Amino acid sequence: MWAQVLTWSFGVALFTAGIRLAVPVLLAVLGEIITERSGVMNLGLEGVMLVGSLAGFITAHSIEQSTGMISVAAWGGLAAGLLAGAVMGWIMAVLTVTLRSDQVVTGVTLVLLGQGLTSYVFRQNAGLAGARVKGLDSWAIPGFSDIPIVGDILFNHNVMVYLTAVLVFLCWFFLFRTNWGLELRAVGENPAAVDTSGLRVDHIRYRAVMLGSALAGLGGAVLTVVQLNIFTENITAGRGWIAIALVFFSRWQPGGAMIGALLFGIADALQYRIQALGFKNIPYEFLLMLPYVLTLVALLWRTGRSAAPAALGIPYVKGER
Amino acid sequence: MNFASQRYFVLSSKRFFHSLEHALVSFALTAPLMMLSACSSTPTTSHSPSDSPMSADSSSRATSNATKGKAAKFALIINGSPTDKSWNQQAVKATQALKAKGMDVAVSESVSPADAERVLRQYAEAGYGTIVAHSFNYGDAVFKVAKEFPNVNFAWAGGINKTAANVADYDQPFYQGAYLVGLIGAKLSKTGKLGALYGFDIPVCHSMGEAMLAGAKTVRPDATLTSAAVGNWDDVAKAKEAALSQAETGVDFWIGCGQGPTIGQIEAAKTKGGYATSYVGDMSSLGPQVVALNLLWKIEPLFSKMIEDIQAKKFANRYYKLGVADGVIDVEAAPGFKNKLTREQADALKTTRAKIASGELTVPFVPK
Repeated sequence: MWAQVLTWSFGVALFTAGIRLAVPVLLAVLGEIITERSGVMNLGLEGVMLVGSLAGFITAHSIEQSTGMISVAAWGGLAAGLLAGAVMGWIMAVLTVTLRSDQVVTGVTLVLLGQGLTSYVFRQNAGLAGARVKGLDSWAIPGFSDIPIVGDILFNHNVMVYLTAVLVFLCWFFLFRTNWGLELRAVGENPAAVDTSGLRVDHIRYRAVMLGSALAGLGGAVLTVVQLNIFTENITAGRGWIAIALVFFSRWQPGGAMIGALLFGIADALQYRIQALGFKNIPYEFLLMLPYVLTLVALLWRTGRSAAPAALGIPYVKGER
Repeated sequence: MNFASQRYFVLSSKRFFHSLEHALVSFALTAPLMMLSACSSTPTTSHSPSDSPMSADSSSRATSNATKGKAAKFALIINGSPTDKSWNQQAVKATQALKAKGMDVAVSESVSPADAERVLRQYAEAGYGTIVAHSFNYGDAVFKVAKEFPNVNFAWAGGINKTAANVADYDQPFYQGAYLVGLIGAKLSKTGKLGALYGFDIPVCHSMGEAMLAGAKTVRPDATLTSAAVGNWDDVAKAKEAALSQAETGVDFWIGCGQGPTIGQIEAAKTKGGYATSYVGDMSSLGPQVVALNLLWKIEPLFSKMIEDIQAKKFANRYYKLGVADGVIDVEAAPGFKNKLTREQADALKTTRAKIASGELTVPFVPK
């Protein structure tokens, strides 16, 4: 049995599968980091991802049907996922920033809205059941993909995998190396201070929530348009909630988010392979727990000084102390 | 009371009213959103396939009709979408057959187990004589509501022989069909390695994998089975990864238990090569090139049997076990594979089905 595990091809398959599983979740985690850094907790991520996944799928499918241009359809679908996510974020921002409703309640409501809305729209369009899109082909990066083992694991994916890696860097750069990022983080730490310096707290939070939700919507669209090429009801199956947990794991750092999402994805890929190899002496329930247990253990190991934005979850009321 | 504590009192009461105001505002804002999502996902008590003159909600009008033709009014509640090409669609299809026979039929879709009690009660109050709760997860709600309405007949998809005077249980012996799938799968597979993927490793699912292996071994003694559980009935992406990891060990023929796991297998078969089996309905439109067989659950004879028993007053504590022998469980070549099966394979399917039907052959039930 162990001979099957300790082979290069097993390792390559394991890590590529882990990366595939990580990408949609990682995009949502990046989005939530941006949102929470501004002091708004968007628990509606699951609903945002679902809406993004359906909007992306419908757009890609209709472009493909009407024009036949496959890659235009795929990119159009991804853009639609991004846009749909931003719209969901706008709803969240109107409710929590302008109207200052409770963020936890509003977030959970957003999940219900996303689930109901996607089921409703999907069932209204009989043509979508069983429909497929072509999506993006994998693109081996010339030169790098020829490196043995590493090339197969890292440089033989679809473009969205590379783009997500780039986005991790961009997200870090935006938050920690630009003025916009500084303002955004300041709003999450001490909105009153930002207010006194003449910046609009609500405007900054609107932008953060919409940008963050757009990334989550993109994550949903990647799932349907690029990875599965189909849509089924409730296709995100809890990834939005996992993403929220991983934000805590990441300690609101994009780099940490990447490590967390990869750890979770690889652990998941590993447990399916252990099941497939037929280790019957381990109950499968324990294997299914593996990614969650690993993430929890890693979370404990990463505790220390709290890294959460100080104003997280607190609506800002101008002039109130 | 000194000045400081007085000041504190004023502050804290102000804060209290402020937070109360916030809670009210939150509720007022989110309530419409909740209702919008509830309208589309949770119980839409709709009549199927077309509107019948009476709505289930108008209970006052309903009770006046309740006395005449009790068994003739039939309600079905399902946990998911009526177009899932699987578990729920097959049940809705069966009610359409009842409707064609002139029965008054109503269907509620996407009823969450938490909401089942309310929906069941509504149907009972509206004079529906037979109410079928088509999910294991409705069990608690069914037994609770059944006590309140002793004259209404309920049935649930328990499969564990849990019944009451007015509650029947019906099982899902998919394993009998899985045995037939094994006969063909053993021939279609190049490696002889068969794969089974379950939502959860429960008896209904586990027995499917084992029965498929038993069937396969009759024509190919060296056949082996690799089984895994996804831990989720919906997650197609994870199911696909699980099926891909099975393919890495050489699996090239699959049977699935649960809609998500089966769609995942179909997707994996497209990527890695191999064949898959539809679960409960015809899912071949999702992969015409790779879906070789359909494992079917034809529910209409089951529902008709229930109605018959109700009229004959034999419904009390019934546990329905209708399988291949009753034509309720069946296996057919998927539409795209009708011409691809050899005559030998088609004959093997036919003769083995007949053997099961006549009782000459009993498919082994291995629940764990």
